[in-house]
Amino acid sequence: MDRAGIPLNETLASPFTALPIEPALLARLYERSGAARFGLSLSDLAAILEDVCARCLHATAAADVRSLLESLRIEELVLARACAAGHDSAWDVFVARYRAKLYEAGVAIARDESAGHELAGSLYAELYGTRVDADGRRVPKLLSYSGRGSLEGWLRALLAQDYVNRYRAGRRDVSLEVVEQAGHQFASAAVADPAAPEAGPVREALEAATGETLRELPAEDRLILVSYYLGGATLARIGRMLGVHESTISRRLDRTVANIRKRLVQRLRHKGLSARQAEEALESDVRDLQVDVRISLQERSG
Amino acid sequence: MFEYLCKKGVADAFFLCRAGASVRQGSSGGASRAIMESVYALRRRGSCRLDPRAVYRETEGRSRFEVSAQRMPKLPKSFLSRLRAQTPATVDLAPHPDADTLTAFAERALPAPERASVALHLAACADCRATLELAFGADALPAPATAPGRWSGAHLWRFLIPALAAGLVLVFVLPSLHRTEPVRIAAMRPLPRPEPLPGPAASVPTPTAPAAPVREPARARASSPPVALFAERPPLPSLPSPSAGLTAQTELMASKLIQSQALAAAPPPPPPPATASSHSESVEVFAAEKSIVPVQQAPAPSQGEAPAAAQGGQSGQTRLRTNAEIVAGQSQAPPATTYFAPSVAAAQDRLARQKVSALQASTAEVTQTASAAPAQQWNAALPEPAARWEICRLVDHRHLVHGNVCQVSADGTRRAVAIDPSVELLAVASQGAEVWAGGAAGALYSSTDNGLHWQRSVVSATAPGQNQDATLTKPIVAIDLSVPGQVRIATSTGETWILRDGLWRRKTD
Repeated sequence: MDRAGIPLNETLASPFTALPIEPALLARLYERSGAARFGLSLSDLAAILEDVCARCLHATAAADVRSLLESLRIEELVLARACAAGHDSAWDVFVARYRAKLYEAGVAIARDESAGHELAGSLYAELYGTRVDADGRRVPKLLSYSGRGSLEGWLRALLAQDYVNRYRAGRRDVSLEVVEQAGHQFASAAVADPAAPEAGPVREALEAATGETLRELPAEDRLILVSYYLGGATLARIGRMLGVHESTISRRLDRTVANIRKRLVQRLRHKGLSARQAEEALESDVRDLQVDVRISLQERSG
Repeated sequence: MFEYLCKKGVADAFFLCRAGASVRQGSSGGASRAIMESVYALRRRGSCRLDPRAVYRETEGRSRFEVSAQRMPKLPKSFLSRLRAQTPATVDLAPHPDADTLTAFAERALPAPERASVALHLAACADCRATLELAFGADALPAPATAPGRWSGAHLWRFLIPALAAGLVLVFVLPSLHRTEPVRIAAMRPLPRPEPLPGPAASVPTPTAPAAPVREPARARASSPPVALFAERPPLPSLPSPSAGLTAQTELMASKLIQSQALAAAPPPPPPPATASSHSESVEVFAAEKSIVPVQQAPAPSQGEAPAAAQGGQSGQTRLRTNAEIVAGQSQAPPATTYFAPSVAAAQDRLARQKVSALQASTAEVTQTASAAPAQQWNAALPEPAARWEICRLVDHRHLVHGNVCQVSADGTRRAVAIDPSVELLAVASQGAEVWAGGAAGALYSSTDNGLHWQRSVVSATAPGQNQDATLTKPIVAIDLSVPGQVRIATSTGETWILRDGLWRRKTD
């Protein structure tokens, strides 16, 4: 039963003990999780939940604990922990449910069959546990799954992280110029460019208004703007990243941009600019100047 | 695009391509919109099953939301410049959220404060953004499960229709799967009416009969309620010439049965007097593919003749009445063809019994009353004594065949007795030879001869002092015969009806 020779209770034990889990809630979660079929007892489940709460909660208020526990994907969490404990039937379930998906996701992320299989195979070994702790016990990666998201999504995120790490490492080895070209020069150019038209009070007002507006931008709206305008992601892709439909992203983007314009104009007018000056100031950008110069040079040379 | 549309089977692909190419040169989304409209038109004509929105995305290379996003007010360039300056391509923003947090973020499972902090990190950290995009943004991967209530209309309709279809399947198929009869009747079909037989030797239809009848739909079967008895009988001494009625499969199975039974060397019953009866037309009998063998045709009784059950020793002469007759309470019933269901093989039977025991455990509360019946007072017409009666679930091609009860003998042998397939029976009880069965819509049947003949009763309050308009229409879920001289019925709504001295009384809890 214990494939890795790790005692179940030791694997699941947690120092976090002062957790206000209601017995009725615990019993309900135990029933819902199907922990009994993997041989996990009620105390085992309590230890798992305490571990999850210790990692995910900063406070141990009863309401927070209850809210977290109710929202957990308890069945998948128990499956992952039972696999981590080396339970054979849990591994059977895991392999039947997730092995094929894992390899499919690996191929989709790497966009190459062999690379994808290698990626997934590497993760598969880590899930079982390739690292060992100081006591010589293996540390299965499945122990780090908390059950807040789906197990399948967690596996995909692990694959993506692994892929990005490999890609980034290789990229840094090859060239740093590419990284430098990604956008730092714009910031310095914007400050240093002597051709900025609205030097003086207009420029200062614009910078202040832009900074304030950017600061009060909600984090998720900022992420959408960055992904869409700087990352070049499609609305559908952003929607999938944020768990909403692309039409929602479209509406939100529309609303955000309109709000930004409105607030910038309001702030600029509050600083003494006229409506026309404010509109003109919004469209002044060092990048425009560079592009204009480039285009004009090309036209002259042509 | 042409290849895409041809691959998708659009008949007017050329037209669509031409339309797309002509318009696509100019405005953004105009050509694709024209093509999408064309696909809509083709769909209305029935010549295209393509999703117009998918065609739009394919021809335009992006969705209509992407196109409409181009028409929205532009982000001020000064703002974009500042945003870009604050969003470097790579920056060490450790600690990065782990895979667990990213998953919860993408699936909207994080609480608002944590979600905001993760979003802020993602806006600034290209690596984590790339991770999130790779893991959850790819088209090829299934979308992660989102929180309830956040589904848009498009998603809703995409999944609502299959969900409704699945629900319907569950509603109609699942009950039949859960109420499976042990000996699964795979091809229940009404047999053709027995031809008038010339003499005693031809009174038994043979399994080698040609020309199987076409399977009748379940609806048709339900509309013509049969009365039949599935019973085990001793083997037959000989098989007469073929007559119409059985499928080749049934023939094969029946011949095997007969061979096996011949080996068992059971004494054959005396051949009954065969009579060609026009009354048999009113009787419809289901034959199970595996186990139902028509044995002999019952003689046409004369007016006032004693019931066949009373004819001890004439095991093949069981006479049944049609439901119409039962409901009408006719005393004179036409003769019927009797079909018997010998066991196919001991192993199959054992397996089937185990299955039915497990299945009927779920309806134990319904059939508990039936289990209390004594086993000693069985009608002599039945070949072996029975221990109890149970609700019987027959399944024909995953369609539940209602209206059956199961007679269980002391050795565990079961015989299905069809009472009324138009009624789902829920409870059965017996006391000696008296058997009562009840079910949906207050349907109540009774038999005084161990289930050979059934009488439908209309339960209405007839006792003095009762509301005479009160009629039992609720499902009968329990029948109790433990009190001598009384029949007590419980309904699903908590009503109790008591039959005493021939009068029905209603008690409401």
